[in-house]
Amino acid sequence: MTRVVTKSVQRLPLVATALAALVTPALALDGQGTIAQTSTTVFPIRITAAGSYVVTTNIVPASTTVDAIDVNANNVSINLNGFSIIGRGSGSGVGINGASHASISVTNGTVTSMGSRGVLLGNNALVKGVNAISNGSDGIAAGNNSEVDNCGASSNAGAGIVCGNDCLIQDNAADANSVDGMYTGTGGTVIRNAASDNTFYGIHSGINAGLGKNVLGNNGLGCFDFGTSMGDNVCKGSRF
Amino acid sequence: MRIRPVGYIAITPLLFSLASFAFAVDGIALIRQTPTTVFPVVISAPGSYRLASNLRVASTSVDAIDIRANNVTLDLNGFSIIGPHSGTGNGINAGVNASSCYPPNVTVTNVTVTNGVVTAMGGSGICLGSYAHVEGVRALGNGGSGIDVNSFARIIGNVCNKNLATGIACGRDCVISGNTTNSNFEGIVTSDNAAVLGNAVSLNSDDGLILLGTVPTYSGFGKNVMENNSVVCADGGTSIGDNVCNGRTL
Repeated sequence: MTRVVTKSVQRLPLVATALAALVTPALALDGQGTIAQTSTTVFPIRITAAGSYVVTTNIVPASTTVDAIDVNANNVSINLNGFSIIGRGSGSGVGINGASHASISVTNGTVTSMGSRGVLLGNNALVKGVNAISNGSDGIAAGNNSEVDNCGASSNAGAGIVCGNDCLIQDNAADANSVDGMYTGTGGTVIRNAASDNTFYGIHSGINAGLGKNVLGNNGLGCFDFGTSMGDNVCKGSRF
Repeated sequence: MRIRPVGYIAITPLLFSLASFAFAVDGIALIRQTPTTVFPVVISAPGSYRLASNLRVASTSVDAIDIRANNVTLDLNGFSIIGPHSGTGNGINAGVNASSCYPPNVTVTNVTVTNGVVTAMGGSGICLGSYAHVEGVRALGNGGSGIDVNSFARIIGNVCNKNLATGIACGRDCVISGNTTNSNFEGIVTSDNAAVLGNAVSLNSDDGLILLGTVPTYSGFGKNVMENNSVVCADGGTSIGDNVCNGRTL
């Protein structure tokens, strides 16, 4: 049986709400849906309705072959609330999987040690303030017209950050990943990031992507591939 | 005081924990100093934690908070960690209690600290391992460094002034952006592949910026304002422009 989290209509006294938030899906006082792992949680946790959700415990998937959270609706916001999704270091599970839906935001927490991608979202996504570390594929992957902002993506077995066309990728650090630090399609803006010690390129972008104020150190295949410098980047100590 | 993490806990100890410690309605464990609090407060499991009071440390030989688990988020929530102005204790330490901060030896990783003050500790204000994220913290007047972390860190929007060692120290592959580091020994010290952008670094008694590591370090610095540091504005690294050193563009 799969656990479904939706914004059910529950009205609980203050104390009861505090207890319920730890053990059952409930509404937070500000109307957000809550996501909490309990001893009866079945993975993946599924979000099936548009809305705002806040995580209230760490999430540790029960096996290596399941996702932690699947998002099966458009227009969903997930606040990890400082908590972590912690995989088991192998397998095929994704931390947060919303690949088939648009306008999903994930903020403020960690996704680590998943067997596959850490965060996988569709078009028009926002990923902000997320650490994606040591996942089995890409750390953060989002579709076209997405924004990845103020994230750390390091030591992942794929790329650190992958985004489709026309993305905004800013203020991130993507280091020591096994493919590119950051990979984006055409027309994106990639500014104020740091990418070093990645196996392939620091920034691998499509045509018409703009790169500015990035610091790119030692990457296996070079600092960048394609894209147009907007100035003030540094590649292994040289400005471009 | 030991803080029990939220989630994945059997019902009985969970209820016991709720009776002993407070939790916010959003599941975050609250850290509040009481008359019976024993320092250091120890965080021993991954999770999200939030201060609910100031922490005043009277002893000179203990840390305020020790973090002994990976994947921890600590929101200082606007509160302050206030030390005794001397001794060896650190404010927030992922290493050994009251030890001299040396992040390369710290094995705890991925700790985030945000939004508050750490001041007057005898040791360093914040001492963390790799993949740290420190944002919106004021580390002021500590006996060691203000913020001292290992590699792959993001240090953003902090104020680190009047610390006896370095304002901000970071390992390799760090992003250090939008901070103020004034009147320390060194302003900012980091290693290879760092991005040091948009910081204010002045009145330090040694260098403003030190970008260490192998030569060349492949670090870049831009849009920093460095005034009246006793030795040089920036030692090492590559300017990516728009820096100001004692009134001159660098």
